[in-house]
Amino acid sequence: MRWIMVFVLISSFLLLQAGYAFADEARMSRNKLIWESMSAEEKKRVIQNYREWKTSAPERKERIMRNYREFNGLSLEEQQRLKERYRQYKSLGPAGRDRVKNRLDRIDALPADNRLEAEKRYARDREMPAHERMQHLKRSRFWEDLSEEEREIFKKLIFIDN
Amino acid sequence: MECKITRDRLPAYQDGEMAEAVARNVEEHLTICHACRKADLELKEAWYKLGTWEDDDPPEKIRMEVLSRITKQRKMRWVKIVIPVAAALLIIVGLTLRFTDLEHEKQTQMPLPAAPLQLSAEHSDFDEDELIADLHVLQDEEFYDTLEELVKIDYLPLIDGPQQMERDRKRSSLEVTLT
Repeated sequence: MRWIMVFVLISSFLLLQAGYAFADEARMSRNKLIWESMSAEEKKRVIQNYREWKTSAPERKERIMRNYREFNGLSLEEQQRLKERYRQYKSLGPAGRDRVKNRLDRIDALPADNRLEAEKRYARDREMPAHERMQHLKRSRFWEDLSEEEREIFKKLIFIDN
Repeated sequence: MECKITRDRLPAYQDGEMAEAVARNVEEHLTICHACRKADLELKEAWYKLGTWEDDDPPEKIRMEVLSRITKQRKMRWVKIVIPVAAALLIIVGLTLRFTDLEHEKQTQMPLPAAPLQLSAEHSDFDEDELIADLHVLQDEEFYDTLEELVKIDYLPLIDGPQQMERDRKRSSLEVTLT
C-alpha cells in the first residue's frame, strides 16, 4: 500500500512537470508561428518593445505581467471593450492622453472611503442600460467639471459599447 | 477440549521434549481416553514408517519433467522483469527519436523567410528565442502597460466628492418619501 502511495505521488509530480513543460512548449510553438507570420514592420515594433522590456525596471515587468494575467481572466466581452477603449485612447494623441491622465490622477488621490464608494457605484452603474448611464454621467460632478472638448473625449472612452 | 490439547501435545510428548508435570497430565489422559490413545499409537506408527522409508530415485521421465519445469519457471521470472523494462526503454527511445525527427523536419522543411533574415542582420543584438518566449506579452506590451488606466476610466464619473454623494443620498431618500 505504501509503495502504491509513493508511486502515485511520484507519478503525479512527474505528470504535473510534464503538464507545465507541455504548456510551455505549446505556447512557444504558438508564439513561433505568430512571429513567423508577422510582417517586417510588425517585427520591428515587437523588437522595439522587446528592447524596452529588457531594459525595464522589474516593477514595470511585474505590473505588465500582472495586467496580462488579469486581462486574460476577463470575459471576452470585457476584453473587447478594453481593447476598443485602448484604440480610442491611442487615437487621442499625446495632448488628449495627457488630459485623460490628469483626470485619472484624481482617482489615485482619493481617500480610501471615497474609493470604496466609487467601486460600489461602479458595480451598480454596470447594471444600468446605456441611456441611464449617460443620464447618470451627466449628473456627476466629474462631467460638470469637463470642458466640451474633454466631454467628447470621455464620451468615446466611456461609452464604447454604444 | 482436553482431547484437543492432548493431541496437540502428542509430538512433543513422544519426543520427550515436555515438562514433567505436563507429560504426566498427557499420560493420565491417555489412560482414560481411548480415542487419544489411538491417535498416540497412529502417530508412533507414522514415525516408525517414516524411519523405514527407503529413498527411491524417481523415474527418469518424471525427474526430467520436474527439472524442465523449474528451469522454465526461472526463465519466466526473468521474462516478467525484462519485458516491461524493455517495453519502457523502447517507448522512451521511440519518443525521443520521434521528437528529434520532428525538430529536424521543422528545421529542414521550414526555411526562414527573407524578412527575418534581414531583420536578424539589422537587429543582431537580440535573442530571438527569448523574444519568442515572451511574444504573447511583447506583442501588446503598451496595451498591458496602460491597462490599469483604461480600467480606471470607468471610475471617473463615480468619484464625486463627499458633498455630492450626500446630496445624492438626500435626493434618493426624498424620492422614496414622495412616492
